[in-house]
Amino acid sequence: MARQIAFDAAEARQGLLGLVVAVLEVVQELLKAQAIRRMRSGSLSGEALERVGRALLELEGVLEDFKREQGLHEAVDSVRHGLDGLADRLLEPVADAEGWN
Amino acid sequence: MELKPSPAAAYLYVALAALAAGSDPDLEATLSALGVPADPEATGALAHLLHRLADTGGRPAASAEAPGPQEPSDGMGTDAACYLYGVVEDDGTRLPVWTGVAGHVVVGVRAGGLMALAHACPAQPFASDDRDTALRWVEEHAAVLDQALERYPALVPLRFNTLVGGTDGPAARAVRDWLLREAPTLRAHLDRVRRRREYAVRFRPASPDPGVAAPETGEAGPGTAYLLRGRREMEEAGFRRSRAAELAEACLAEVRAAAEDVVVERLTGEDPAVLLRCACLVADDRVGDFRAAMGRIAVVHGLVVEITGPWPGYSFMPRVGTEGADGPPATDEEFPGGRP
Repeated sequence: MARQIAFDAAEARQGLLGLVVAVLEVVQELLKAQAIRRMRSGSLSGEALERVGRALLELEGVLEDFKREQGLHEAVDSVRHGLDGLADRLLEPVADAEGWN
Repeated sequence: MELKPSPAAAYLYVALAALAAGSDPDLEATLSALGVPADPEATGALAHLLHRLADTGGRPAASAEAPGPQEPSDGMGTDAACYLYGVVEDDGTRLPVWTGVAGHVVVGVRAGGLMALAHACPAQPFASDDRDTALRWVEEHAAVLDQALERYPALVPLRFNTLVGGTDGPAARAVRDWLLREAPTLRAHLDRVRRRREYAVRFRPASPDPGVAAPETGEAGPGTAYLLRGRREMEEAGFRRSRAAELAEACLAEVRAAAEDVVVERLTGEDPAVLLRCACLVADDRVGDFRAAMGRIAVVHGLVVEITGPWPGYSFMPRVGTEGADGPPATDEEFPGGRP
């Protein structure tokens, strides 16, 4: 019985962490898209661009490390898979905002 | 060794050498090497003679045009047709000795202040089953135009296998008639391309290969490089495809602003590797600015730009009629310059 509960608890923990990391990933990607958009429009450049890029790079690294340490890849992927449509809908207007006209 | 022949001996030597070589000697250079000052009248006459000899001997041999203000003698002999390379303005100077297609020597046929670069030939177009031979001819045609482009401020290039003249008389007469008849069109085009040349510009999406793309990031720090990489990935992920047309239009508008004239060859389309391909007419003294502008457009839109040229202004040619031409006016297969 205790085993069963422990197992469920581990699964729940994985699921929750996976959800959190997935959301953080989406946020990181939104920020990245925003930074890229501003880079393209020229409103972000030089030192500021480098600083933002480095922060995003570090965040990505931290999330990646965390996923690996906690064995979260599968959990995150399943959340992301479910979120894909939503993430695309979130990302699209951001990427659309100015860039291409 | 100091050997200084008499002028007569030097001319004889040059003539024999040219006949022996059967190719295109630089008469003036050879004479000056022999220490004999080249007399334009004499070299012109000699070139003319050599060409006549070559005609009768059936072997393509050395010749240069013989300038004659009163009686145009262009070494056309009695051949049935003239193969035309292009048209320049007659500046009254001698045409350098250029070898054209299949060893023919290019002569200038002058009329009404214009000069056609031509060679005499039978009234039939060049044709060969051998691809390499055909390719070589096209390259030889392009080489003459390249030299003319360097030598003259304005040039109307004609396509490979442009023939003028029928079987009813000296071909040079037909070329002169053609020059006079087409003079307004030819002059308008010469004015349009004077001291301007054509450049082929191709924009394509930045390569997904980081090895190739690396130079773009230059000395950017890791953060900037990360965002540049992200931008590339984003573009590859389909943003580019859906926005390609808009992007190409935006590029094109900027290209138009930087060039004097633009002919669009391709605006996006089936090949996703090419976003925009166009021919640009650029003034010779603005080439630096033009190249810089293309570079800027590429950077701003995250593209790679390739510029080739200068080319003869093929893309900006008017429709020039060559009635009386025997055979097809051109091979429509490819750009005669073998443009990449």
